[in-house]
Amino acid sequence: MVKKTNKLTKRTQLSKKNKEEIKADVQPISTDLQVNLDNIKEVFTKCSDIVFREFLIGYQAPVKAALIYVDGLTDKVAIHDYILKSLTLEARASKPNIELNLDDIYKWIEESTITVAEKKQVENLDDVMSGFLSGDTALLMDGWSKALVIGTKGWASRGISEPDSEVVIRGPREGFTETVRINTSMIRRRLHSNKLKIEGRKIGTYTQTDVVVLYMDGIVNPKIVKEVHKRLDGINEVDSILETGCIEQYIEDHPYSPFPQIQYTERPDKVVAYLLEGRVIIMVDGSPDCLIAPTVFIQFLQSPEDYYSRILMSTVLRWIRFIGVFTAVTLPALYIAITTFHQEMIPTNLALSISGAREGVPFPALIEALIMEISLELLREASVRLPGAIGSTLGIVGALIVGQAAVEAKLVAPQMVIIVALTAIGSFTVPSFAASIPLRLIRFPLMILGAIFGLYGVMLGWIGILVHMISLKSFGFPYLAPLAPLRISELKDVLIRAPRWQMMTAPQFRKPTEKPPKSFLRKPYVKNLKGAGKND
Amino acid sequence: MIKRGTISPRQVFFILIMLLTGIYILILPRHLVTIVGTDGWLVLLVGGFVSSLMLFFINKISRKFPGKTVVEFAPVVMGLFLGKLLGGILVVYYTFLAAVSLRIFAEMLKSVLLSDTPRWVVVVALVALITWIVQNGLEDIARFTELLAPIILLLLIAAFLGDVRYMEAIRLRPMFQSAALPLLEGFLSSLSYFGIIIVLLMLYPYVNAPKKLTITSLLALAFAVLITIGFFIGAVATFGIYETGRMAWPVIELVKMVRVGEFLERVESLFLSVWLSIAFINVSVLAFCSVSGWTQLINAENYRKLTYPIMLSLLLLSLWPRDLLDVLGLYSLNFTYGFLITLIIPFFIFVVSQFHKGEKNDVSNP
Repeated sequence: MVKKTNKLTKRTQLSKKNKEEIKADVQPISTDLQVNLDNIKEVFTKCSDIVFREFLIGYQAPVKAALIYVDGLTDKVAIHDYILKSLTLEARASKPNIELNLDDIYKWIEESTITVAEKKQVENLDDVMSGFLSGDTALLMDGWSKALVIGTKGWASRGISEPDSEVVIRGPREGFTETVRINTSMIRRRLHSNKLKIEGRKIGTYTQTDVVVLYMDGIVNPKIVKEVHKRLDGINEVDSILETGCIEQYIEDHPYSPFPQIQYTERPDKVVAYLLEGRVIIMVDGSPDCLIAPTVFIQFLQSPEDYYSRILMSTVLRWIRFIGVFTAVTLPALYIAITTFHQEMIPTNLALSISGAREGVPFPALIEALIMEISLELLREASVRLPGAIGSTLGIVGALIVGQAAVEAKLVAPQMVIIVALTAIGSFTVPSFAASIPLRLIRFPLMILGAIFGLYGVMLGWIGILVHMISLKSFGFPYLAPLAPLRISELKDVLIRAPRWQMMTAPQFRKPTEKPPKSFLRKPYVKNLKGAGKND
Repeated sequence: MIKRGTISPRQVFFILIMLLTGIYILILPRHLVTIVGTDGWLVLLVGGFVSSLMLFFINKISRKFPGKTVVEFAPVVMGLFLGKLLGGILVVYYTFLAAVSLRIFAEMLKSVLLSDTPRWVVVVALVALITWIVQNGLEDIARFTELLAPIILLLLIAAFLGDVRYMEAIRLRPMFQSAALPLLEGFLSSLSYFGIIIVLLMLYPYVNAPKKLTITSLLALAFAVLITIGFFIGAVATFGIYETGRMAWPVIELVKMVRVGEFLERVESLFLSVWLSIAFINVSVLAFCSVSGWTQLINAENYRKLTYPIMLSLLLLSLWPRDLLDVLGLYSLNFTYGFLITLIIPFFIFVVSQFHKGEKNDVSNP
């Protein structure tokens, strides 16, 4: 134990040392262009994708200059037409009204010749390097102790397409892509508000991944923003951030719990809705998912569609999902408990038909159920990895043929097939994949409890699940929030889906600086409509 | 020490209702019927009224020492020895109530649902879960209660309404026939039955708006008195006093008779899950009071370390009586003498505290 801690402290000391060295190592930009280029080339030996382009600016007393960029990460047309062409051909043709001292020339080049909107002056070589590594173009000039990083990012990226994992019948078909800028633009396009804040940072010692934090100023509870930043600060030293999932694991409150405490989504409309509810969104470059914090469990049972379709229908659909969850978690356990311990609860006719069908089945109900449920999980996992057409074939083969054959071979009772099919269907009603996995897995311990204690065990299992879920928190907010602790005013988005005009009161995450006017809570035009009808 | 001022008056309301209409309602009708016959509703009503007096004392003394439980302020008021003694009696009382509730539930479950399962298996499984939530703290217990209590209450009321068609008013007669002595005994029983509200003395400092608690606790008491009387009258009007007196679990028998339409019978499994939740809530709250009480009694830093030994002793205590009759005999002690603890101790502290200045420290920064 002592050894281990020693090792750990050594390691942290080492990494700290390295960091300090790197910091101390900040290289200034030399006034000699060749020295700078040699330095950079030395760092980037054996990197075939870095392009160095040296050229001259002006013709009377030409200034030596060089462009550095990464091939493939840049928009070549922009470099050719708006940097190189401007600096060489057009600069020669124009007759600037300046004196010929070097400082003025640099200023003139920076301000008047480059025809690219984004540019940034940097003062050391490290910034130069990180600048062109992220897709921009660096411009170095002889005799100048500064450099320019010109925005030329442009790489091949996937087009905007419909997210496969969050399909809706009604609602926008757009989903996020892997480029964080495109994603933020999709949010900004829906939310033309100066209150929308988009804070950027880089995480990952090697990957230097762009991580963006979005929130609505004036609506969000500032404590949440602070907490998110605090947690993100805490992971500055990790090697790599490849996906939002990596961040999620680091900043989650209870990483060992089966339940996800941060929701992810690919849908910009959902993100906008959550922003307006006062939540904080975290986006990561390279991932089409973004994180929503804080998250309460009930969110996983809500779909964006609920808010687009009609009031009554979405309320009914929500209850169907609740039933689905209950079925998926409990049904096999209940079946096992009742058939093994409490046969007297089944109506006589049904009991007779069950025992008739179970005749010849060699296993007790628990084993039978475990076989079927595990093969169901096998089937589902197998079909997830297969391309669409083959996947559905596998589903048919598995569900129909294997099930039928198992019943005919008297391995399982036909009722068990019904139960298993119902649990599968129930778990598919959960709109979020992340939440349906734990619900699928929880039913196994429940089944075992049901086989040991009967109904008492199933109830104990449910109490255990609730005790666990109640103890969870997401960014300091209770996970079962509008239910426990009970917030009656928020139940209108849980038990029912209230009309939109009644949804304007603030959910718990909101700390609005201004309260919405009371007239928001009425349907604004009903009166007028009725009046118009009478007058006509 | 757990953070104080974290649960809401509404959560306390549900906790109190769950305690007052909880486990002991299972044995109350039979006990009352054997003493006062059909006049049980009368003694319950009077007992409820007098219990509000008890609530008055509890609220008064707890307000005088904000941010402190009874175990902490009793030594301040009464002097170290007497204060610790009274605190100790209360803590032992909580432990006793928790153990007996646990055992009564286990007996009920054994006789109705799991006749072959050994008793200790049932109790151990439940105690494990209760230990878990007690470790998580009162806030979690309060949330759990708040989540389930409304559903439980709705189901209880629905069960009562579902049984109305079996009830006949004639079985409630004759009224006002009991002699004075049995009436007094019944009255003391009902007073002791409602005396479980004394857990409020331990919950007070954890509530974030203590000022609202007077009205909250009175409402909870009134509601609970109504439900209790309802179930007493329901049992007597359905079964008559002789049968009620012979039944082990009159209330369970009552909900067993509920039928939904012609097809859905035997809904008692649903009600067993209701009583499991009630038992879980009851024992959790009582166990929490007991654990935190012991912690404060010996001035320990952290209640978490004490949880395991106390839960273990609770478990052993609840398994100690041989059978149901032993348990009921044990509990009839509480029916007879419980008021000495639940009414007299708050009254005593109240009287002495009148000569004490009290403290005015802020609840949020104890």
